[in-house]
Amino acid sequence: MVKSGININTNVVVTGLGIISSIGNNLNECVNSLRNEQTGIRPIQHLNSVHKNDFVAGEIPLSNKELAEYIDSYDDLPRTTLLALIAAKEALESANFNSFNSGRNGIILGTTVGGMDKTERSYLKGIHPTEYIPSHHCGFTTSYIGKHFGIRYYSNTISTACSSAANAIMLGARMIKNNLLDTVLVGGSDSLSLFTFNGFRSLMILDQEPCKPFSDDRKGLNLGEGAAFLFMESSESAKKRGVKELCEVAGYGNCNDAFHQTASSPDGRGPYKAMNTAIKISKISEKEIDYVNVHGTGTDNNDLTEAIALKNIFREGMPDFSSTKSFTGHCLGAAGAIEAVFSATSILYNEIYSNLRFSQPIGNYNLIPVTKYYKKQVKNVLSNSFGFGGCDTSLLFSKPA
Amino acid sequence: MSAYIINSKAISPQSSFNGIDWNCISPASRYMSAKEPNYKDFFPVLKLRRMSRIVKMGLTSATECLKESGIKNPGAIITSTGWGCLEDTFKFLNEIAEKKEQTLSPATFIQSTHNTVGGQIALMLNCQEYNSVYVNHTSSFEHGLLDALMLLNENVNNILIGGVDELTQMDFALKEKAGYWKEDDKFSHLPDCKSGGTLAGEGSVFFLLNSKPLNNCHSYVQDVRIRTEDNAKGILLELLHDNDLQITDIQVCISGINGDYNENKLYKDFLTKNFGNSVHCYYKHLCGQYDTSSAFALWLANEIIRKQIIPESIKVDPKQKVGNRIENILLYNYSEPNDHAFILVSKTGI
Repeated sequence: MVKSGININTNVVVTGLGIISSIGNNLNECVNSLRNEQTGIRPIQHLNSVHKNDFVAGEIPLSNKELAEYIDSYDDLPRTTLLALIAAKEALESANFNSFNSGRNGIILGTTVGGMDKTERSYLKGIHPTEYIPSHHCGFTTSYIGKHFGIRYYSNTISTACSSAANAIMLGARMIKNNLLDTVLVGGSDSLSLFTFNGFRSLMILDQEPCKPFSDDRKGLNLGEGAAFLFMESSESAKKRGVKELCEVAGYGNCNDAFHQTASSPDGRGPYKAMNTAIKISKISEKEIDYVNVHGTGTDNNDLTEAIALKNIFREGMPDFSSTKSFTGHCLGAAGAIEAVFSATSILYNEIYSNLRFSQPIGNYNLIPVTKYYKKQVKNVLSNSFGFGGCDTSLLFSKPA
Repeated sequence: MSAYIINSKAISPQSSFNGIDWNCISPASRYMSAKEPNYKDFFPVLKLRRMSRIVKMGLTSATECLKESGIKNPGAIITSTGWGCLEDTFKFLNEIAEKKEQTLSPATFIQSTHNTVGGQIALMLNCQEYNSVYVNHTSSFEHGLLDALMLLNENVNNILIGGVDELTQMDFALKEKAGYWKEDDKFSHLPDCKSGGTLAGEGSVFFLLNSKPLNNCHSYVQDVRIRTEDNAKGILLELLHDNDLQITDIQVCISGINGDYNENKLYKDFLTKNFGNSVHCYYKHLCGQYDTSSAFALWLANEIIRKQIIPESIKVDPKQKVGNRIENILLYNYSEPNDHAFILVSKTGI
């Protein structure tokens, strides 16, 4: 139960990470791609669209059958579920956690398309089938992962467009602080689908070439796919289990832009408020932030308004920043988790990842992202996720005390 | 932490928008569409034209709930929906199929995301506060409620929270093929049904929650439990224990009995074993089955506590009588694949 007067100042730490994206099937592969500046944005191979030759995407170069073999599962599962299985397994193993029979353990997933790819496979054949129904639901993947690994206590799913996974992480942290859970596996998963691909194409915000986030000559975003999970617990629990604290969830801010269903407000008021709230909650000064993993989709609208919001937060003291979407593409509901993992590794390995294909700063804002991977001491990282419906969430990760 | 229900607003297959008249209940059927208010009373026609039905239901119930509460700015907006914007989702899928991925309508895509209603409410109210959307099967609303309790504990106040799902002809037809619904409307007392399948329903119910009992507040959400473990009794005992209650303190138990023989049996076994003295009630003959129908159940519990009367038509056993005062109502909602959800609603002290 939610008890008043409890200490919500509990430190929530990340003790496990798992990821699969177009730049690697696990954490090591992804981090190596970031270090070696190898992008995952390539010609489309598996997504069966009539436009596949006209666009590039951050597609994972494995078919559903290959993904199923990789994780020893079934290829009739939605791709979103297969990706989530792979990332969840790695996160649990890296947290050295397998005692689901005791304690209050939860799973919270962010997703937008759910089992859409399976729905499409059967639905677009022209007949109206029924086998898609159970797995179409956004909650399907969460239930499946929970059952698969034996997480029985708490299971929940969030869908706030492109900030879904960031909100899953935020909710997990709050549930530990409110003493409702001991451990929680939080993350996101979204596969490419004809639905989202055609949706973004109809909005005319897809770049047909690899995207150029925060560059004045940017032309739009590339879609990506992937899944990532963070295993979180209280610092006390991590110490008791004798596991390494990789980073701490020091702050979070969820705000609504309340401006337009898809476009950001011209002054970036939602993004500003999300970042500002996360920083305030963390009690860290914005001057102490070493790196911002920006939302940076590469669209005209996002990058401009995010730039304005960043300027309003950091003024002349803009820290290092980059959009790792230049590697992975925009993984929608999974983006917040994928980028949270990269924020964690930035802290863990003391390194800053580059923003590929940048040429000129936007307008007069003079915001120049990091364009070359390098090592430096990293203590605090801010990670932004902004979405349709004005759903903006920022997370602040810190080096454990 | 308690969440006081300051106001509620329900669009449902009953005439519930301006309060329900228990003498005029619409009969249950396997396709229960909402009795929608005249939206032109609330929004300009031009705006309405751009809204899908789920958006109209959600926006109207949310904004009217807020307006009547006398609160100007909510401190958070929480929306729950099981299947999201079904109409626009399948419209867009059909477009992809029919037009072979050519010249598609971005508006349909934009309105198809699960957070469309939540985002539109924020937009309409110009509310920049916390905004989240739960989409977890039949417990989506309960998950939202748990978040609301946490927010109140974190000193966020005036939470606008609701559950909204829409029924479409197409979704009905597809799920009919999969055996979701009753074969016809020839059934009488839903809890006694011997056949499989349930009734398709829809609705949008919103609440304004405060940490204090403002205005004419009658009831509050005392606790919410959602578990995926198959131990309903254990969860129930823990919930009672944590709230210093005995099973005999629960005068009314409202369950999700939905007419499907197997699910009915599951509910009835659990209720008879554990709630010998409580009055058992059900509600799916009023609103049909949909993922966030427990929001309608909470609305119903609030009505019962307010009027201190249980309408005969919602009793599983019409012969059961309730004692003098209805202090505590427990809502129990179970569904495959995995969710047991409880909401404990209690009468305010004033």
